[in-house]
Formats: sequence, structure tokens, C-alpha cells
Amino acid sequence: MAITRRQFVTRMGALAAAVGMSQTQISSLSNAFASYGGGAKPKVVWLHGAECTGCSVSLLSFFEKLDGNIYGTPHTTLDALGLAGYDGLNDLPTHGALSAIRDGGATPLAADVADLLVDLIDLQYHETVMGMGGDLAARWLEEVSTNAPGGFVLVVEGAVQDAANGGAWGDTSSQTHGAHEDQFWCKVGMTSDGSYSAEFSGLVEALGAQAAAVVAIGQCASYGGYPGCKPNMTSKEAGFDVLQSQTGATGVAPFLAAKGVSTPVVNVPGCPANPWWFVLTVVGYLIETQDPGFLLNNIDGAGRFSLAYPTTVHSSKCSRYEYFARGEMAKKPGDRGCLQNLGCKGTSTSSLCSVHGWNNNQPENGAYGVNPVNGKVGNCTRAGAPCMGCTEPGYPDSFVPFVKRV
Amino acid sequence: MSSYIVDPVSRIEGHLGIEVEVSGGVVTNAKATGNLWRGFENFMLGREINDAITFTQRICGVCPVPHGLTATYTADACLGYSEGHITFQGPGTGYGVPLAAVMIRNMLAASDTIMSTLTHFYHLVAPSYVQGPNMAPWTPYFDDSYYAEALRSGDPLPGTDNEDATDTDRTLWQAVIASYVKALAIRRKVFEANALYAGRQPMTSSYVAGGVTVNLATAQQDLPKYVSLMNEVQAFMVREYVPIVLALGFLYPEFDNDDGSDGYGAGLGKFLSWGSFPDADDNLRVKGGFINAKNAADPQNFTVTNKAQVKSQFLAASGVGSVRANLTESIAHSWYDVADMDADAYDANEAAFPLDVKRTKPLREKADAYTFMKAPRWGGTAVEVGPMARMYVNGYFQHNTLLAATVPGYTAYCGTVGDPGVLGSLDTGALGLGIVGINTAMIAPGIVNGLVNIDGTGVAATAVCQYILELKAGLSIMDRLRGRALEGLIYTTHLLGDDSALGFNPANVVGFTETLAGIAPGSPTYYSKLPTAAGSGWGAVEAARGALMHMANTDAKGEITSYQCIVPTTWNGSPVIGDDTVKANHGAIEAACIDTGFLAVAGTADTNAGLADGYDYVNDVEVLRVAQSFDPCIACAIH
Repeated sequence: MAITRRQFVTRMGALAAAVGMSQTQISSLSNAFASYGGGAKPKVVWLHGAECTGCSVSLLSFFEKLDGNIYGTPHTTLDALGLAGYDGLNDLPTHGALSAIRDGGATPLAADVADLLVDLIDLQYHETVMGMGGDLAARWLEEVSTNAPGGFVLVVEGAVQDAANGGAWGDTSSQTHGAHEDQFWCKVGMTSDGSYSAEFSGLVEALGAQAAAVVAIGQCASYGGYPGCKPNMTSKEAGFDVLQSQTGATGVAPFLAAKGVSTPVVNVPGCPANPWWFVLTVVGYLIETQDPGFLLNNIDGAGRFSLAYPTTVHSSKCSRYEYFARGEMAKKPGDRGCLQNLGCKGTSTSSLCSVHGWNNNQPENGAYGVNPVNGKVGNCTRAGAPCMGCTEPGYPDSFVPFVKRV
Repeated sequence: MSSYIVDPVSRIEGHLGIEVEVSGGVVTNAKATGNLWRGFENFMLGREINDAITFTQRICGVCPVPHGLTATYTADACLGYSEGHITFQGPGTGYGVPLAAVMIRNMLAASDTIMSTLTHFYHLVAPSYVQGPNMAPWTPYFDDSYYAEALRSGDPLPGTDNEDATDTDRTLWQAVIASYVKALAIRRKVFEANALYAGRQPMTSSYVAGGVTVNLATAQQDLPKYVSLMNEVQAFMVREYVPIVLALGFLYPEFDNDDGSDGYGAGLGKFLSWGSFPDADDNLRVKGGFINAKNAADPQNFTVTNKAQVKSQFLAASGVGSVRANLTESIAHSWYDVADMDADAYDANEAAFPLDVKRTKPLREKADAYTFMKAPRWGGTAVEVGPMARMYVNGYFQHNTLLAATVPGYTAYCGTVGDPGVLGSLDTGALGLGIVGINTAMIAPGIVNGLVNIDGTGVAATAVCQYILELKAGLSIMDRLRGRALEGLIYTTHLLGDDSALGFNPANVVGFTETLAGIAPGSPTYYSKLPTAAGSGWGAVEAARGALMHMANTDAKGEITSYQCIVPTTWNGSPVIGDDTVKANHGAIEAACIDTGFLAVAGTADTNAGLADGYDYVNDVEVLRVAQSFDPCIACAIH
């Protein structure tokens, strides 16, 4: 049995309910989806900048079972919330087919990235999955940079390196590629004849101004991440500024703010971001379109949707909490025990890592944060690796060394 | 003569543009441009060498695991766990790390390569040969004439039958689309398996200098789940992925080698591998070395198969296999400047041994430079790295020789007269005589039906089988795709050995999972060792995309004083060094573009592009196909 679109929405609604959303708000989520009914879906333009594609790769492994219970809310309770009777959503004709192909129907009530791509969003541009390439893609960018589809959401993966900013090296020169002389650290396309060149920071500014909202996925797009970190140059080159990123790389929000673009930006940090955090944020956005304030009034100090980053890695939900509680500390890598002495940053890192595991490695009943069995939630600490703080501003510079080797 | 810019080269990792000069419909020169610089080599300065394992995985989110392992080997070398290049097992005194750590490191790297292999074919390459569903993000398509008729969109999306259904109506297009969707789930399952030992995926958290952070008891407890997931993956590869890749050449013969002679996108024909996967006997499951595919007498040829040869060849101070004597990286045509402190490291042609280089200094305004990629060379020779390189270095590909004679398990895909369902070897002497069709015991019914339905009669399916069985190793785009698929299958056998549920272990190897299962409980996964003196060295791994090396120097506190990465796509995507009218002076991707046909057909995109109106463009899918066959990773290449 394949899931239906309504069931998918139900699952999203269930999560929203579990994190404190009212029945009215759940209905507004359903309405948001209904407003895209009849095959129309929210358009998404996804751009890659100073990045590694890790967040896209992570999203490709999106997989959620829709059975079981969530945050202690059994599925049957959702029926009581009024969702069961909701029939305002039309299943798209393609949907059941793709879900069934996935694993021969062996996992009922589940959704993966194919469901996302086919049913939930209209992904207009994404370098790594789209059919377009070369001139076909460059011309598309040229068109869209001045005439974007209405109401689209811009997703940015990767830090923004302002083209004219030299960064620590003080290099503000230009370079030649094809027919063009350009100033860039990151270029994402050029038409066949060289007449148009798409430099990344300029494109983010142009599309950011036209978008209904911007989602910054990953640590780099959120806060600058690795491209934004500052090397400890023990022997300096002449003119090298140790207080700056090498290429002036920053997160999307500060970049757009500096350019005077007021489109709201929501961060989904993580290195990489867990697909679930992204989906939760998208759900938040869909509710926002019906119930203004739901998302934008719930942004934490680090620009994240607070319901997607509600707790710290170190909590009673950590798979190694039992060790912590009885004072059993790992003394070296490979030991049993709490990892605090090996450099674990779990106490100061907000994320769902300990509540909702990675890579479909969750508590057996599909539950979400209900007394997870120790060792059943997949995250770094389960494999004996200390939390490295990758969802926090200031990562990586403020969080090294990642592993204290003893 | 005209020139065309192809940018973005999409469905790869990162930002690549290629400019081709075309004369008479044939590419006469090419320039590959890497378009993003972040500065990773400098990020690492002043940090603990062990942190390079985490840092360098952020070079690339598509292939972080091999960077993590290479950095681990590099840290091992700098901290005294190994002499360099690859870390073998050891007893806890002197060199080496625990055998359990060697196996877990191997398992993560091998299955990650398998994941990359699947992702590359289905989700990156396939849309250049197979039209996707008629909706974004797969539309707009290139001009229909660029796709084989059997692989054009138009049929309804595949029905709800799973692969074992008896639906004989599925067309080849439907079968391939169904396989594309299923491959999304299969690649995810590799992540689920690896996350058991990595903490999470795509990035691996459990690599550490001296071993792994995973506890042996937990690791052995998780083995059944790991094996079960990887068995599903192997079954998918055997039953769907490999047969589709093998059949692709039949549908696109103009992109294949021509009975062993050079085909479309042939490239350099010279290959390099660093070797990979040390086993319990200190042999390398993937050999290292250099081979000139068309000249067995090339004086640069050499092979490295075990621990002793790693030392006598790669780690030697001189000789044909010496890294120190042969490896250089040039910045002559790259947007970099020689840093003040590196004046002595570089020669007059701006080439240096990377271990001696202290900084990577960008200079965006530089005459004659056209890319952020550097130019590594082996003994002054431009080489190709990657799966096809490894297939040649390991002898699974022998130029102009039948694949049926050299690839383990290859003939199992086709049956013989009167016995079409039997697995096993085929008498290659009987080729062209006894071949009737697909081995239906081996290949998924959905794919079989698709092949039978190419022409609706099944005659084409027999022709496909004959094509597959008569294939020889050559140099072309299709050889690259086949090399990757067949190697992926071989990797599953090294991973699982007799743990294969299919019984697919044609070379009868011992699986890493079997070795891990046999290690005595209570054995260590990590040896303690703290820095006491300055260190220097390199680590090397065969990543999915080819030969990957990191080189580092550390001070007495174990902090990094220099770090350089020599990455597969840096080899393949490197700019020309020397006279650009000589093909052999170009990097592998540029060389593969040169001499290939390029029609530059004008097209108009339809309104499925999401925009109100269509727009005019140039069809440049041939260049995309050449570049994509290398599985380029530009974030890696430039770092």
C-alpha cells in the first residue's frame, strides 16, 4: 500500500501537533496543501554556491515512515484531531506508482525523496538532479534572473562569497573565462556564446529579491560554515588578514541584509542538514502562508525554525545518556561511555539528533522521542564520535578540536 | 572555427564549465574551467591533524568518506601509526592499527563507492541518455533526436508492479524509470548500512587517527543488519543496474568503443591508481600502479599489490613507482600565485611536489590561467584516474580483449542455447554461435521485459546479449560507464564475500564483513598514541572517482603546518600543461572532448521550463556526456 498525499500531510500535521500546534493550525496546513491542489505545487529554485552538495545528498536520502507514533502522539489520536475526515486533497495520479516502485511496496505508509519531488514541490532548478545542462540551463538562469516564476521559494545551499569582496587575501581582481572577464569566487553558469554570465552572489541577490521566501540549507548557507572559517596562518603572507574568511564568505541572511533585500530567510543548519529538519521547516513555511507568524514568529536567535531545533543533543534522549547518568565516561575512542571527556559538544548544540535519528535509524516503533531505547537512535554519538556542534553559529572555528584524542 | 561554452556542466558535483573549439563538427580544442574556490588547504593550518578528517570531508558531500579515510591515513602517517600512503593492520607496537579498524574503514569506503556508483549512473548520468518523467526537474529535455528511441518519454509512468511482478507490458523506458526511482531507495539503504558504523551519512563521524571510534562489540552486533542491507544493494546491482548499463552501449553504439578500437570520448588511455582496501593478509584488494592501456611496454608501467610493494614502490625515494620522484602539481594555468614562502618549492614552470607546498594563494588575475583546478602530473604525464583506470590497472580491462574473458561473473548475464537460465562461464570461443538471450535467472523481470520490448519481438534482446558478450575493453564513454558498474559489482564481493545472499562471489574472495565477524571479542578498534615529534607524510585512497591523496606536515604538537589535497577530478579536470595543440598535454576531460563530434544543434526550450515563454539555446549534450562519464567532482577538485 502506498501512502496518499493526505497521509503525508497528516504526518506533517502530526509533527506540527506534537511540537505545539493547535488544531486550527493543523487545518491551515491542510489548507496550504489544498491551495496547491490539482497538480500545482510550490515552485522551488535551488542554487548551489560555496558548498559541497552534502545537504542535497542528505536530502536525497529522505525517508520517513508514516506509521507508529510521533512525539508520543499515537497515529489514532490524529484521527481525533479531525485530520482523518479531511478530504480536500487530491492524490496526484503518479503518486502511488512511485511509492510502490521504491521497495516493491514492502514499506507501507512511507515517504521518500521521490514523493517529495513528484508530489510536494515543483523543483524548477537544481544542478545535481535536473535534466537541463549547459546552454539550456544557462539560458534558463538568464531568463529567471529578471523574470522569476511568481511565489517561488529560493533554497540556497552554500555560503555566499560577495564577488567584489577579496576576503583575507585582499584579492579583488577579475579573471577571464570564455568571452567574459568576470569578478567571481563562484560562477554557476554562462551561455554558449558568453553573452551572459551567472555569478553566484549576484544571482542570490537577484532571485532573493524576487522570492517569496529564502531557505538557507546547511551550515554554510546559514552562517558561512567552512568557507567562512578563518585559517590560523602561523606564518602570514604579506597583506593576509587573519580576521577574515579567505573569500569573504558569509551566510545568506547577512548577505541579503547587506544588499538591502528584505525577503525573510530561514536557516536550516547542520553539516550536513538532516532532511527531516528541512522538511519540518518547509512545513512551517506552508503553514506560514495560511497562518502568518507561525514560522516567522518562531525563529530562534540563530535564525532557525525553533520547532525543528527544539532541544540539545545532550539530553535524556541521547543514546549515551545512561552512561552519563551513572558517570561512566569514555577514556579513549572506541570505549563505552559518555563522550564528554573526548570533546563532545552536545550540551551546547541545538538539534533533533538525539530525538529523531539519522538514516532511518530510529526507535523500532517509529516513535519520535518517546523513551528511545539506548543505542537505537542513529547519530554521531551512537558510533562513538563526539557531537561536533555543526548546527551552531561559529562552527567549525569555535568547536575544534572535534575529538580529544587521549 | 567556432567556440562554444558549456556551463554549467550539470548533474555532476560542483561548478564546471567547458569551452570547446569546433571545426567541421569536431572538437579541436577544449578548456575545462573549475568555477568555485573556497580555500580548504589553508583552512586546515594550525589545527590538530586529526581534525583534518572532519574538515576535508566537507570538501565534498558527495564523496566525503574517501576524503575522511585519506585524511585518516594522512594523520596516521604524521602521528606514527604508519609509514604513509595506506595504513595496514598492526599489533599495537610499531606501525599499524587494529584489524577491526582496518575492516570498518574498508567497509565504509567500499560501500560509499557503491553508493556513488549508483548515484552517478542513475541520477547524474542517465538523464543525458534517458528522458525523465515529463515534469520538472527532468524537463525541459534536450532535442528528442539526442535520445535513443526506446528511451524517450511518452509512455505512462511505470505501473505499480515491483520488479518481480509478471507484467510483461513494461517498455524499456518504463523499466529504466522504475529502476531510477528504486535506485533512490537503494542508495539510501547504503547510507543506512554505513550509518551503523559512521554514526550518520553522508559524512562519516567515526574515523579517527589510530583506528575508529566504534566499539567492536557494537560493530559485530550490527553486522547482520549491515549485511542484510548490503545484500539488497548487491541484488539490485546484479539484477537491474549492471544489465541496464551493459545494454546502454547497444542503444548508443556511437558512444561506445568500436570492437576494441578507440570510441567517443576516448581520452588519454594512461591510467593511475593509488591502490586501496588492505585486507587481513596485507594485500591490496584494489591494486595500485600506472598502465598505458595500449602499450604494455611503456617504461612508466608498474603495479603495487601488497604492503611490501607499497613500501618498495610508492614510498621509495626514487624509481618508477616513487610518489616523491614522480608526482608534481602545477599552477601554471590556474588562478593561483606562488606564495612568498613557497618560492623554493616551485620550479620555473610553476610545478612542485605538493608535500613541499605550504600555501594555496589565489590570484584571480593571471595571464593564461583559466581555472581554479591545479594540474597534477605523474612523471610529467597527464593521466586519467577513476573506475576505468582501476579496471585497467587491475587487469579486469585489457585493451582490445573480451570482457567475458577478464571480468569475474561477466558472462553470467547471458544464457547459451538450450540453457538460457544457467549461471556460469561461457565458452568464449563459441561467441556468435550459441548465444540466445538474457539470463532470466539473473536479471530482474522488469528489465528483461523492457529489453524484450525494445522492438516488441524479443529479437533485439538477443542482439543486446550478443552485443554484451562480444564487448571488448576499449576507450570510450561507455567503457567508463561499464567500468564503474562492473567494478561496483566486484566491490560488493570484497565487501560481502560468502555473505552474499545471491551467492554472487565469482572470484571467491573473503568479505570484509566476514573478517570483521571473525575478530575475537574484546579486541581493540583504536590504539592510543600522542604526538611527540614533527610529522610528515601522505595518505592515499582509491575514491569512487579515482586516485585521492592528502599530504601534510605537522609540528611537535600534531598541529598542521601545511596541507595539500591531490584529488581525482584535479587529475581528470586539470588544465593543459605545455603546447595545447598536443592532446596528451591536456587533462583527461579536455583530452576526451578533443576529436569528438559536436553538432551544436539549435533548439527551443518549451514552456515546461516553468517560464512563461520558451527560449532558444544550443544543444550541447555531447559535451555533457563526455564530462559526466568521468563523474567529475569540482568541489573536490578545487577544494
